[in-house]
Formats: sequence, structure tokens, C-alpha cells
Amino acid sequence: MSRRLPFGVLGVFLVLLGAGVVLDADWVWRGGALMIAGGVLLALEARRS
Amino acid sequence: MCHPWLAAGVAGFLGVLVTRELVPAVRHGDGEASLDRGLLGGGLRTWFRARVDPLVDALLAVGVRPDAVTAVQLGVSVLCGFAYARAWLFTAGWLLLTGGTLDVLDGAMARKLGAASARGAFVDSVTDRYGECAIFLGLAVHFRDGWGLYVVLAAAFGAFMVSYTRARGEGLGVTCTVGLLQRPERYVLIGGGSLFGSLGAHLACTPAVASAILVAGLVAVAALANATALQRATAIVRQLA
Repeated sequence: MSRRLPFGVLGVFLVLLGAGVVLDADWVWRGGALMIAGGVLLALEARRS
Repeated sequence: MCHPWLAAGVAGFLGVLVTRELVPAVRHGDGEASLDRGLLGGGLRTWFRARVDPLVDALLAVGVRPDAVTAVQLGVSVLCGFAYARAWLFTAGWLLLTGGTLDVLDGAMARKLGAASARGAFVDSVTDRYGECAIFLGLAVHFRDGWGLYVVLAAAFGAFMVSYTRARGEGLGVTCTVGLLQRPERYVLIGGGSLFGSLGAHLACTPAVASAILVAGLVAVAALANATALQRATAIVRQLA
């Protein structure tokens, strides 16, 4: 069983959740922080593969 | 306040994801969409399972139990209903698709652990119905002032009848899993309608676009879910005759 965390899936989840927070609630900083966290995970996944 | 640039960015991001992931999955899939197997077809289902598998391994490796994932799924569905009631359509659509993913995860985790049981299947089914109830309740609150409410009620009725016909058939000893519009298809139509409706509203800076696109998805669910329930009822009646 793999202990490798699926950064790609988590990254996509956080990017789109952050986008939703900005688009729906207009919480730019909170949503932006989530999107940046997701972007970092996607970058880690890209470096790994 | 509308955010057309962010909406355009998210639409582009989703476009890249679909082009990279879904298009090859559909092209090289092992099954076409059909009346019996559902609208999504075998290719997309295989792709989805392959994507979910590393998550299953990762969660089991850190000691997460399938029951915990089932509980989180219910929580996500309640949050989704709350988001619909607050008219946060993009967030609600995304939470809906996340809840659908968690629904697949708990079953896959139980099977991998060798812990799949009648108790687990029952708890999962009951949790699913309560989760769906929370989602449709949120949608009903969102559309409470217009004719969209009737569409939500028809979609909710169809969704519950799809599950009921199968459960009643199994109670009578008949297994019936056929159906054009099963749960994954419902999630995709309502979740997709919410996501793309919200993006369209922000791109056009016209809030009404979001509800219009979501209602279109709900009309499709209302029609196809009830057709699926009748399809299952007919199949079960034939087997019982």
C-alpha cells in the first residue's frame, strides 16, 4: 500500500474550492490562500512526476 | 460582485483538466454510454477509479477507516446543501462532486481492507439518502420563490425512486442495477450545472445565468431519473412475472 500522498488530486480540490470561495462569497484573501495552497501542491506533483 | 477574470481562469483550468484527463479516458475507454450502464459510460468510470485508487491507498496507509470517510461524506453533503441555500453555487457544485468522490472512496477502502459487509453497505446507503436529502433541501431553499422549486422536487422524487426501486427489488430477491441516470450521473449533471452556471454568471456579469444553467441540469435530472426509476421498475416486474 502506497504512502505517497496524491498531491495532484488535493491540489485540484483546493484550487477549485478557493475559486468558489472568491466567486461565491467574495472572500478574496481566504479563497486566494486556498488557491495558492492548491497551486503549491500541483507544482509538487508536477516536480514528482 | 462579479469576477470575470477569475471565472475565465477557472474555465481555462477546467478546460486543461478535461482535455488532459477526460478526453483520452473517453476515447480509450472500455465501454460506451448505454441505457443499461449509464450516461457516463465505462471509460469515464475506469478513469475515475484509477484516479481515486491512490487516494484510497494514502488514506488506508495513515489509518483512516471507511466509516470515517462515510461520516465526512455526510458532513460534506450537509455543507453542500447549506451552500445551495446561501446561493454559493460554485462552492456547492464543487462540494457535491467532492461528496460523490468520498462516496466511491469509502466503498473502495472497505473492499481493499476486506472489510466490506452488509452492515457497511446499509450504513452507506442510509447515509447517502440523508446526504442527498440535505442537498435537495438546499436546492429547494435556493429556488423557493420560483417554478424551479417544482423542478427540484421532481428531481428529488426521481432520485429517491431510482434508489427505492432497486432496494425494493433486492428485498424481493431481484437484483437490478440497470439505469441511464444513476448517482454518478446525477452528481455530474447537478454539480456541473452549478459550476458552469456560476462561471457563466461571472463571465457575463449576469447572476440569473447561474440559476438558469442549474435549472437546465435539474430538468435533465428530473426527466432522466424518473425515466430510470420506470426502467428499473419495468425490468423488475419482468423478472418477477
